Amino acid sequence: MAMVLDKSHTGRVFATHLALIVFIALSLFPFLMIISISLRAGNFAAGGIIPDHISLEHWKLALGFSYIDQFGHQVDPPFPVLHWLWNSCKVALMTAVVVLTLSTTCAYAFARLKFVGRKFGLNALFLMQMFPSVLSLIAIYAIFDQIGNYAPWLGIDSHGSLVLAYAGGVALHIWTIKGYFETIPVEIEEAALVDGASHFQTFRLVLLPMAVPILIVVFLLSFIGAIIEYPVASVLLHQEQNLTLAVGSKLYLYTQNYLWGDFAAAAILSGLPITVLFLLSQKWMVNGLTSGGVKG
Amino acid sequence: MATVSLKNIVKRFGDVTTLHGIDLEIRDGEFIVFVGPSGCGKTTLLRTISGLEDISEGELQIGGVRMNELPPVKRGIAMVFQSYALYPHMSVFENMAFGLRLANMKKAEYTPIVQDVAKVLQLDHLLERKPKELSGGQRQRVAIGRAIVQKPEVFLFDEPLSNLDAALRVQMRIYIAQLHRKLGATMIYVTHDQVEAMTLADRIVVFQAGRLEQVGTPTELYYEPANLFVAGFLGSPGMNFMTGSISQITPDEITVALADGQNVRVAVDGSTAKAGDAVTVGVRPEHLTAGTQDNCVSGKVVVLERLGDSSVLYVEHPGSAQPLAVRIPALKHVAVGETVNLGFKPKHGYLFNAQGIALRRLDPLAE
Repeated sequence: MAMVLDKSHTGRVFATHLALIVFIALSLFPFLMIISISLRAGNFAAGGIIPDHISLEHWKLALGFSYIDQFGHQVDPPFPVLHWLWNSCKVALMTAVVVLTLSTTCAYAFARLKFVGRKFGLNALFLMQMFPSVLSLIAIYAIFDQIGNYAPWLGIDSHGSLVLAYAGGVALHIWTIKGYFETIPVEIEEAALVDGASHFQTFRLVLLPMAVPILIVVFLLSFIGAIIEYPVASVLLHQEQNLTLAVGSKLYLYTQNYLWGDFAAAAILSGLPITVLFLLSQKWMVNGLTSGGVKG
Repeated sequence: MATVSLKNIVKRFGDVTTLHGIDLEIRDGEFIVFVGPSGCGKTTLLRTISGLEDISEGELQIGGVRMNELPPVKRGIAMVFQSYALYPHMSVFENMAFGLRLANMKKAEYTPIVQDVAKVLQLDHLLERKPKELSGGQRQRVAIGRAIVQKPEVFLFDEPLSNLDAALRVQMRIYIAQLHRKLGATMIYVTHDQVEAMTLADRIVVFQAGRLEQVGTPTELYYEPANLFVAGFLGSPGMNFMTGSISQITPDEITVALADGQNVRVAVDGSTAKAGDAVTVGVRPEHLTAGTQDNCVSGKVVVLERLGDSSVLYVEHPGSAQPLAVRIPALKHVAVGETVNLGFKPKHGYLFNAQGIALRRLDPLAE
């Protein structure tokens, strides 16, 4: 594709690249800052982006090791950061699985089945999603407090309650997946029905394999959402052992003493599972899964 | 035995009725073709037979058993879709084995069945491929193979060849004809291509606007169409129609005065007609001869189309909304703008009354 270009084209390409580089630098800056803070001795938010002296004290604490400070005192890790990270991963994985299960099955029903109230249901879901969940914090607390009386594993201070609360946020995912399902030709499923598949078999054996990319996207989105969520988790979880990393790392920042360095190390750790999951799932996010099924 | 019997089938989508009471008996092993213009209900009828659409009223029997309430898989049918509808994430083998797998067959049981069918369809070297690595014709053969392995009593084809290019379509048409002879199963085939209909069908069913216009062998429909619609639908170029009124009736023929005052004679049974009735004369393009004086109409040539094996002349005539089409020998030259006489033998003519119903032809198969 060697298209003939105007002379001013080179200049415009240069300007565009410059703008993009500035934009990338701007978005990378906070991230570099937090790495810098985590590697700086002491707990200071301000300072140069490249620390004068690299210190691993915050990382040692975050990873659960003690260290000896400049006065010869042993400093023990104040909080179980790795345990929080594990809690976060656990909650996020469970949430992603539950959200994916609910939203794919709902999306199938909305995309393919004819039933009374279909349109109303879709719009109602969408409208409810417009109110931020923070607004219902008190309700959420009260509901799970009550549920806890009957099923402690779903009550306050349980990870089950958090997963259930997050599972309420499936509406947007239903819309996303439904939109994708509707791009898949319905004849393929009809062929499966004629071949003797039940609706569920059609869904599981024919539709889902073709929808893998969007399922991965929804899985990742809900995983990330659960890892970084703060308000609901801060209301539902109380004991230090149960906290997620997002809620727990806030404990570094109490009014008398802002432990910026320790906080920064914990914050970077929370990005780790997301990165790993993203790298693992990338090979599934491919185009053209439906090509060849029908005449293009 | 897989006879298919439709008794007063009605299909409604909400307030819209798309099938208005279809009655049809399809014999065991028959190749029946549904034709009609887009939106005439032929595909809807096929889908109600398959069970992909429910039946609003009436009864469907396959092999003498009521099928209205049974799901597709219990009807003993298999369907080939216009768009192939292959499972894109499965190999050719898995595509063909899918139905057998769902029927709880073991791999050892269904493998030889699939391989046999693949061999017949010349797909045996492609079994490991995914649909996207196949050509259009190969994909359609996989779709047909997927139907055959089910050993259905009734095959349903929904415009299976309309996505293929012309050469491949001819090839696949012959293929399907051979398949029908070999399997001996009942086949119901929907198409809008009248060549497919004429060549494949034991009987053709012509639909219009959700109603059955005529059922018969290709020859019957071509030479003894029941009405104007069927007469105009079959044949390419279509039949020429000229309006006029009856001026004289004899036992052998009816004389019609056309709009431009010319008189033509048509050999039809005039027992239900009377002089003065408004009628439509029909003549097929191959029965009109340019340059004859007897029983003729005249008009000005507007277009000459050379098709290679023959040519088609289009001639303007006041009695006809469309230019009259005339098939002439391939290399015969006629200048555009020239006035020509177009004659036909009375026994080759068709006559339709004001309601569009055909009057019985006295010698329909005359040479």
